[in-house]
Amino acid sequence: MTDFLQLLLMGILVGGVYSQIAVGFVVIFKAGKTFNLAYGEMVMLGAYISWTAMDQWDLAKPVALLVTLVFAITLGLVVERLLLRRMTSAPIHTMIMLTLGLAGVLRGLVLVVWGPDPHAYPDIVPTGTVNLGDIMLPTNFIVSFFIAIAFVALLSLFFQYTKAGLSMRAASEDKVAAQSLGISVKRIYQLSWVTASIIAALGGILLAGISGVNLGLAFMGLMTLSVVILGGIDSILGALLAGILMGVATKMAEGYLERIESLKGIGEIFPMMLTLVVLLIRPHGLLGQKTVERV
Amino acid sequence: MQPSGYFSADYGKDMAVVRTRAQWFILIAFMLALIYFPFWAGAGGRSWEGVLSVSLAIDIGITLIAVLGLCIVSGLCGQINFGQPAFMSMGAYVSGILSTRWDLPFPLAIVSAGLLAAVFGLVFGLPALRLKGLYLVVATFAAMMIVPYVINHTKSLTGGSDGLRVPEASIAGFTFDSDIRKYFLVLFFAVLAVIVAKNISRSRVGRAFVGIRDNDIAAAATGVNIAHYKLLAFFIGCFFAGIAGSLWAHHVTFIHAEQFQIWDAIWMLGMLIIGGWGSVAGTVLGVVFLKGLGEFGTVLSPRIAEWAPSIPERVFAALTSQVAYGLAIIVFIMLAPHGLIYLWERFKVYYRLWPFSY
Amino acid sequence: MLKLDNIRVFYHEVILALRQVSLEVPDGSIIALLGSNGAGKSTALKAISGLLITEAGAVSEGSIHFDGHRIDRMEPVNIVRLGIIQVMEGRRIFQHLTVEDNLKIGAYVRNDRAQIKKDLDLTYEYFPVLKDLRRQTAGFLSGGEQQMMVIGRGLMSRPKLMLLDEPSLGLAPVLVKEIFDIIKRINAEEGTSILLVEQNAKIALSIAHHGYVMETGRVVLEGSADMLQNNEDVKEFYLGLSTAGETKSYRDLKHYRRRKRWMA
Ligand SMILES: Nc1ncnc2c1ncn2[C@@H]1O[C@H](COP(=O)(O)OP(=O)(O)OP(=O)(O)O)[C@@H](O)[C@H]1O
Ligand SMILES: [Mg+2]
Repeated sequence: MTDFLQLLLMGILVGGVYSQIAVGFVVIFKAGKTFNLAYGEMVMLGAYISWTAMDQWDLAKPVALLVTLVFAITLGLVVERLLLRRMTSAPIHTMIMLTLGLAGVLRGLVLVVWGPDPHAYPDIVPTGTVNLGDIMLPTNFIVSFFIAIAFVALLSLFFQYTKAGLSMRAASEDKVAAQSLGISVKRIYQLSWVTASIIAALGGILLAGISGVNLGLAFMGLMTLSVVILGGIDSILGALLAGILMGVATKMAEGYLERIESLKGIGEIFPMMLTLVVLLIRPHGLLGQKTVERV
Repeated sequence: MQPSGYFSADYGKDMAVVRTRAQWFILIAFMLALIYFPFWAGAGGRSWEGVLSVSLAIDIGITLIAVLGLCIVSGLCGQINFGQPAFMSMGAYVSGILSTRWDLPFPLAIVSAGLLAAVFGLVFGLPALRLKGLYLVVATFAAMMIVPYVINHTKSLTGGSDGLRVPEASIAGFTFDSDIRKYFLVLFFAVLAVIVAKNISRSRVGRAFVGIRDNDIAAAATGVNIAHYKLLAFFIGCFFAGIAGSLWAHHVTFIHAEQFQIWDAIWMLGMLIIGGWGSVAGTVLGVVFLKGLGEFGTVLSPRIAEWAPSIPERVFAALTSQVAYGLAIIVFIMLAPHGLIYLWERFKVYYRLWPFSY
Repeated sequence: MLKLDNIRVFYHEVILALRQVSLEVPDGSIIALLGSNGAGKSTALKAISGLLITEAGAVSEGSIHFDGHRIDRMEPVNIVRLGIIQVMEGRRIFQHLTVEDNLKIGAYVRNDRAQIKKDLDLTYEYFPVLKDLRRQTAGFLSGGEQQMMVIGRGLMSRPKLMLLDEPSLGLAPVLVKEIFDIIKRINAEEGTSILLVEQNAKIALSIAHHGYVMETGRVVLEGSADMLQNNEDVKEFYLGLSTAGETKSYRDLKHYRRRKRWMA
């Protein structure tokens, strides 16, 4: 029982970070019906940049955070401007390949600049564990979880109540009608890419705090994709739910299934399998809209 | 647009692929060149810096077969399939296992490889009946995750992570054990694959595929049985992958789950896009072009490394592999979104109309 | 004041949709733009609002001026800022947003919060149904309510000129009457000029001051609303009345009307 609770809670904590990252993917999709398969690489870049700022340049943590933020914003703007602006009405395979090409470039650049070796990430929060009876939860997991969830909550407030958020939702439904009301669709795309880029960088920081800085962070792209698809590609709530579900499922698979000798390593493919099964039952994910036909 | 002076007098002529005498001539010359190529390149020293090697040609041929399959599923029928290397690995393992453990002769092994991969493709094609776009991408992605896992965890059958040794192909006592022999084996299958794919694309089935790709609701309304055709597309596409996998197994004679990477899946789709989505001739162009580019990179990189030793090796590897490939795809999509074949068609029209612009 | 001067519009650089169209909307007036399907009425509105670019269309000749600005090369966003709002054909609502959010989006280009709040109340005054439905998801509204909402949404930008594209589309006659009454009130009370595209010529001319009739990309007739209402051709083709109450022989039709039959 303790085992179970331990795995469950750890799954929820990690899942919160998955959710937070996945939300960035949803934001881009909602705004322009485009998507970004280089998203995992953007997460990874966020981690590397913040690590460099803190560990290599010895900047104070808030300053390092700021540097990362500025970098993320720039990256979002550049990518949007150079690649995606002309792609909003391109067929899906073009968009897939374009962003995969970008993924290759970004991953290659990380290799060039930082090399393949993993690095330990400086502790942003005090290390240690919180003990609930026999259950031990590392504090950095807990803090990451709460930051992630707070961020998602903030973001849904943004979409619900601010003018910018509202106009993004409007533009995602009907670009032309939005334009007829004076909303600049170009602005909306920029805004969505910048938002997503910031979310990715923050996700990178949180993840690096848990698992260190390494090339494996790009694997998050795949994880994000399965989370987003599981939740429904246009639903923030879906991403939240699916992220936590995925975290729990992965931890459970690692904890229980991998005890069986012949199932070693199943934790890695479990998210995909889960998504596949859910898709067969609900072709638009848990909470996706049926009307999103374009993709 | 057709060559001037050429009129389609009957349906047969209208459907003809090769229309004029000049085209026949070019085709025959091209085939002769393909036949002569290994003797020229194999003689050694003559191929430029070893780039135009026979083994590269074999590699291109095998990849071409797999990508033609992808052209049918994704290019024609619009069902984006990220699992082609997985289906290829299925074919490789089926062929390998049948010929090592059951001593099946090569012709039987390769056909079984194609069929089993095709049946397996149906299983992953089933989600396509309900899924679209990115959702389907993820479903076929799952194949890329699950297949290597299964291969690595069925050690008694597949050799697991130790890999599997596969004998060279042999037909009636004749063994394809040299590069030149393998080249002709692969050439045979590749030409066959091109002919089959071209004919599918021009047939009623091909038109149904395109109908589904362009507007499945309208296609259904005009009486196309969507489920049937989508599954058929997966069946054919994965059959091609199985054949390619089998040839691969008997070519390299050692197979391993790691040989079939997600990166290959991306790359195959890249070949389709760069060549021309949905066009058989474009597929050929795309495969040859990208494979050539990759080979060029591998040959070139040690030279540049020699020339500029201050750049660390890892930087170099990253630059020539991922960055260069990524950039190639991006640049092509931005500059020639309809693929090389489209540029070629434009050139032909331009040539035929010159000096008038239309 | 809006003035279109001999404009020519192409879609995709080859499809000629408007040739030599000139029209004027004086301040504070309601102008009706009539014509059969495909005449180019919507195209004219899109040329004014700048939305042509969303359909690969462009004004290739002539000019459009509004309040001293030349607007035929402007971005839609800036045209809205100048005070022109187009209420597009076919009720383009944001269906997943609530009614109130839809209305608020209408005020996107404005920054005067207090005044926006007042205008929201004003809009609810014009369309009381919307007030009761304001928390509803817009997609669940009836066609008539949706039409009211998009007009209200346009109003929320406090436009000087509203371009209304077929507000009566698919609505029951009672509702059409109600909506046109409101349009008339908006014009009278807010001083908003209105360029009204309609298939229902009768009701359009009943509230308009002046009107234009378009055929295949040209203006073929213009005049005061009274004059148009009494014009024989308009009566026959748009009001469904024939003068003597008897069907005329096809041979009697004037030249341009015969042409019109061919083109229509
Ligand atoms: N996006 C477009 N691309 C190409 N041609 C177009 C486009 N939109 C309209 N057209 C053409 O321009 C002409 C005028 O169309 P328009 O929509 O302005 O007509 P309309 O008068 O509004 O008709 P209706 O009363 O049916 O709405 C038509 O011949 C139409 O086919
Ligand atoms: Mg119209």
